[in-house]
Amino acid sequence: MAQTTASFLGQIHELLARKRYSVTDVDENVLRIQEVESGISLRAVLEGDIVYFSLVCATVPEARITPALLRKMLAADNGLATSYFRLHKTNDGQVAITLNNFCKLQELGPDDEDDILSCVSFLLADVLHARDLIGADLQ
Amino acid sequence: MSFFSDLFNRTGRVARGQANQAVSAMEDATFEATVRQTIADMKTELNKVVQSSAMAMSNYNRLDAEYQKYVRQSAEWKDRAGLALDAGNEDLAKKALAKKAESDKQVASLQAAVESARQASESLKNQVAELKHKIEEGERTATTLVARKNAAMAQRKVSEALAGVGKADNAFAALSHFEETVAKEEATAKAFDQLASTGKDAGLEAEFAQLQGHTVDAELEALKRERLGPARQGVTIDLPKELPSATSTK
Repeated sequence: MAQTTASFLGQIHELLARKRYSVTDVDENVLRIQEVESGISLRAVLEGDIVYFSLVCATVPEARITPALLRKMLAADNGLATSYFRLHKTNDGQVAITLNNFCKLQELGPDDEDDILSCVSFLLADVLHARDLIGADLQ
Repeated sequence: MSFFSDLFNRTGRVARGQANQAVSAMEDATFEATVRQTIADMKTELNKVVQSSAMAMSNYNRLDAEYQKYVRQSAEWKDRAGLALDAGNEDLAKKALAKKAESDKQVASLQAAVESARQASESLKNQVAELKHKIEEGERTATTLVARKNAAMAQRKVSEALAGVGKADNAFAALSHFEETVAKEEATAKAFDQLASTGKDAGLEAEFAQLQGHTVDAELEALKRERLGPARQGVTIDLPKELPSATSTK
């Protein structure tokens, strides 16, 4: 790849900021992206030519992760087609339920820009559906 | 799959070369380079096989040309022997057949070498085709492998980042807060709307009040007239003693 991670990340930052997202550099290859109206935030991690997006739906005690909840999260017909759930352990012993997707970049042309914006839009749309799907189980 | 064994052998070589570094860090740093180098090595090998194949084909072509030359010569001497016989010159026919025998001897001696060269050439051509196929497959696998490794690394970094995730990143909570804010804004907007409507009603009420005011005034005047009565007003009204009889005015 001709371009460096830093230059790619800078371009992604600029692209998202241009689309009125609030973007913060968290790490040398991690961005925090916030949708300013709703306050929903997600993270983008760039590794080589892969940009991985992750959005925390909720952080809950491990006991809340029941088989019934998992079935809903994994069901093929749960309505989430553009993102997928993952569970991450947090430092305080809880479980972060996340929605994720990713795209593979080429030379950051218009196709890549479209992919990046689509990934972010999909997550922001899917989180609404995810709340309808599992929100009640987490209360 | 030989591509994978090549790759992991190479990884092992690189690992031994950098034994003083942490293995995982080294693998991260050299993984893509190792994969690319494996492909490059395969291409170098392909070039060598292509060169060998070209030499073998050249050798085969040369031998085959020689072989075909003697086959033609044999046929020519046979034809000549026939012509000599037709002309009644048996001695000349014998000489021609002797020459044909020499050519046949060359043909026989070359036949094995030509076949051997043909097989070597075919084998190398197959090797070239197989190697090209392997390289194409290797390049596809390498691209996928690097992408998978990058995706796995990215996921690992996300996990690390999410380990310390705070409530600020909780999307469901943010959505609820956003909805509350929207509901408050809607309530505020409704209140403003009601206030605006209240202003309009006040005008209306005032108009009605004004109308009502007119009614009170009118009623007051009527009451005053009633209280004064006709006698108190100093007006004498002559009332007839009897009602007049009905008369025809025809």
